[in-house]
Amino acid sequence: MKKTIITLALVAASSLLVESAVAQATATQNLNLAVNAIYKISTSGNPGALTITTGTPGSDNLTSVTDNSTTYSITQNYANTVKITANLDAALSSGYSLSINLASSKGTSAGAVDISNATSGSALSVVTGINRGADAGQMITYSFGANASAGTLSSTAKVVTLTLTN
Amino acid sequence: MGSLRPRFNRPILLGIFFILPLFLAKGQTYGSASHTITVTVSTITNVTVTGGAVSFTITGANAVAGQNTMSATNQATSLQWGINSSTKKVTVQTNLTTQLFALKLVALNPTVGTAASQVTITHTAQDFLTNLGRSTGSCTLQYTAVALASQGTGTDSHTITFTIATQ
Amino acid sequence: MNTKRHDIRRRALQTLLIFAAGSATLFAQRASVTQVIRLQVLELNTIDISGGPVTLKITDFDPETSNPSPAMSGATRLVWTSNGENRKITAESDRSGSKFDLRLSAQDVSSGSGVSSSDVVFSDNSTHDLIVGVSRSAGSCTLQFTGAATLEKGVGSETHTITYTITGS
Repeated sequence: MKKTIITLALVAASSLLVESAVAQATATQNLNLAVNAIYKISTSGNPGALTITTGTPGSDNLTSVTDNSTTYSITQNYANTVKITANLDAALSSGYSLSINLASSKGTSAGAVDISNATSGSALSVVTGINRGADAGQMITYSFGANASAGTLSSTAKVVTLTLTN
Repeated sequence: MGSLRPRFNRPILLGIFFILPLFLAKGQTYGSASHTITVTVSTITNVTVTGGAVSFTITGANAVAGQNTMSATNQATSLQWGINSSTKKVTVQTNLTTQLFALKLVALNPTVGTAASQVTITHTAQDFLTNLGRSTGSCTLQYTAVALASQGTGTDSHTITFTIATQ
Repeated sequence: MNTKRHDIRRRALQTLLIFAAGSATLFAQRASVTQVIRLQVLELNTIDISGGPVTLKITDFDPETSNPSPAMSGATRLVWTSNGENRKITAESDRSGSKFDLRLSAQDVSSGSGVSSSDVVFSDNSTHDLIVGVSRSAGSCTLQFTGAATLEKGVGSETHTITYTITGS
């Protein structure tokens, strides 16, 4: 009888040991996560029409008009030396001028930059030294000027390209 | 386990002679035996990942201009387990002590148990699924990688470990 | 054995994919956005006078003509800007009739901004061409007024309000 009890106790103890030995199980999985170089830029839309309607008597430079109704946003993780360039689809005729000024909190704004003659092959820097991260809702200011000697200009659509690049 | 060997002496023979007919009337036992069978079921805990390794990349498609936070998700793999003991849980951890980017995990549609809210995976084990009873089960592993643009580019190669532990 | 080989192949493929993704970024390190802006310059014509009111006082007698000597103004200037084509500047008095003679001459018209027409005599309130051939320019000239009277007109005073207008030819 005593022998039986001892045997049963040993069996119970060994089964507990077995349980504790296999009560924990693991599985592993390899996971590779890569973050590529990312450049994103967007604008809030198109600015309103820039229409020159007045001038100062005796001055060939007509009164310029401005528009600051749009903004741009960027995200980039490439470097702290990224810039934004601007160019037109085609240069403006002589006597007309278009400047663009991009505000920036992550880089250095070049101020008002005359892009009248900047095309895809000669885009001009408008913001430089942009740090990694995001910059949202920064103001875009356009200024359109004309000389009286250039005559009138019927409503003309121009395409301005802003490029975020290294 | 031994067999019976009837011993034939006089009193027994008399007994057989007079009493046997009584037994024959009710059914005759020629012999009996007994033994003990012990069935032991050990504690079984099993967990496996199906779907293999996970590889995913945060690209421009995962970024929005003006937002510093970029994220990508992957739910191509799943976890399966079998448990026959008391209530258990599954923990998750990575082998990386230093991660460039945040990696989060949530158990989607667990067939049993309770999924924890999204867990940010670290080198320390964290509860990922709880209240797993005596059953098999599975869930989809939904990983979410979160990177800040200000952190730059890079790669993290994790070995993720899922562990079934006593709750 | 087969499983091991399969794992090796899978890892090689993953490595290749990661490398390919990384390489793609090298060639895509820019992003662009466009804005369409609409530019327009309307025809505008502006004109202004500098020098303030003009006062012509006839005080002397000219023995040669046996009439009072005409009085002339000097410093008044007319300035204008027009981006139109072939415009002209006219002058007009508000007086329907005048007792004394008032004559206007546009002098020293800036180069390329129009041509002075003949002198204007304001005998009534009709409109007179002062400068013609104004096209896409900013110009200026000196307005020289001459007031004259004969003895028979006696003494008196007349005030004209002269209006200058840029108009089509």
